[in-house]
Amino acid sequence: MSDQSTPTDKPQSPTTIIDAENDKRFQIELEFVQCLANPWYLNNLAQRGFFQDPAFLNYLKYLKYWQRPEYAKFIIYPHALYFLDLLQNPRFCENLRNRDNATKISRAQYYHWFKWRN
Amino acid sequence: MSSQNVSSPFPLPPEFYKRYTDENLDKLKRIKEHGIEAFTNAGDTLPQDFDIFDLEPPKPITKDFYTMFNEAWPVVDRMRTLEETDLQQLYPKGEIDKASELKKLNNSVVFNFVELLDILVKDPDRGPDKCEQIKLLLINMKFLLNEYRPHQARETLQLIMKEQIEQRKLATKEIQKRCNELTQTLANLKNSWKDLDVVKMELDDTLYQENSESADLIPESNLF
Repeated sequence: MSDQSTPTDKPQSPTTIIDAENDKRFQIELEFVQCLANPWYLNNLAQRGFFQDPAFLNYLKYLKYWQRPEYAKFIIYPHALYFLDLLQNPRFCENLRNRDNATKISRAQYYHWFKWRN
Repeated sequence: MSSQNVSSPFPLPPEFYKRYTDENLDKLKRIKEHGIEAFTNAGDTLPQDFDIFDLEPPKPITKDFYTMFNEAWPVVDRMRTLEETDLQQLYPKGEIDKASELKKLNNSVVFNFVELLDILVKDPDRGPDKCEQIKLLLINMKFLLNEYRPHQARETLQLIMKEQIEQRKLATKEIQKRCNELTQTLANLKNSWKDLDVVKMELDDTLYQENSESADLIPESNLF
């Protein structure tokens, strides 16, 4: 992820500060949610034990707002939204810890790009 | 992000996720249901280090550009014009007949290619210039063609939807067929049941008659 630098020009009024905060947050979450399209990133999250953290699971639930049309149009890696759904399932999260499973998912993803896209 | 593992190639999730505890989400829910005053009157406290409404999704960006993975993207998705990419636009601006413009460009490409062959024979040094011209022509053609992309996307969508409708129609037909078959089977069953009834009644009748005949032979006291 980039370092989410704010625009260089200094905000003048409180509303512009709030806007800048909002936009920064929007971009951070846009990048994070799209990182979920990478099975190896999911594997990494699982191995670091994030899926055991109830707050993190709540956060994943919250991130489903990216599936709403007004947000989804910003997504350029749509697999992320699919994985987001799968991540709501505890068994999927548990199995992600295993590298073999991550390899399988990664391969399935590759073949999806390779064959099933038309 | 002090706990960042330096050796890992992957970034940590945004720190915000730590705010999404069950407790905080419950607070947000209650505030939204009963208002903030009822919430503080009930003796609950808001989180100290952030605004409770920050738990809500941010508003989509509506202005100019946004950054995604260190690249700037325009919020309103549109194609860049040739001039924005510092290239000469060979076809006229505004409303044009794309098909005829494309044909013209295509003719130019062919013509320039013939010229290129001519130049290569007579004056090979000027070859690269001619190649550049052909390249520009081809880029122009590609730009024109790319303007058809939204149209293509719409057509593809239309096709997909038509296919879906067709599939649904087929499914409905299949269901209708099965329903008819079932009704037929039920009707058959009913009829055969009636037939059975008739047979049974006849049987009963004969049995009754036999019984009554035999009953005459047996003394009444032995019947019970």
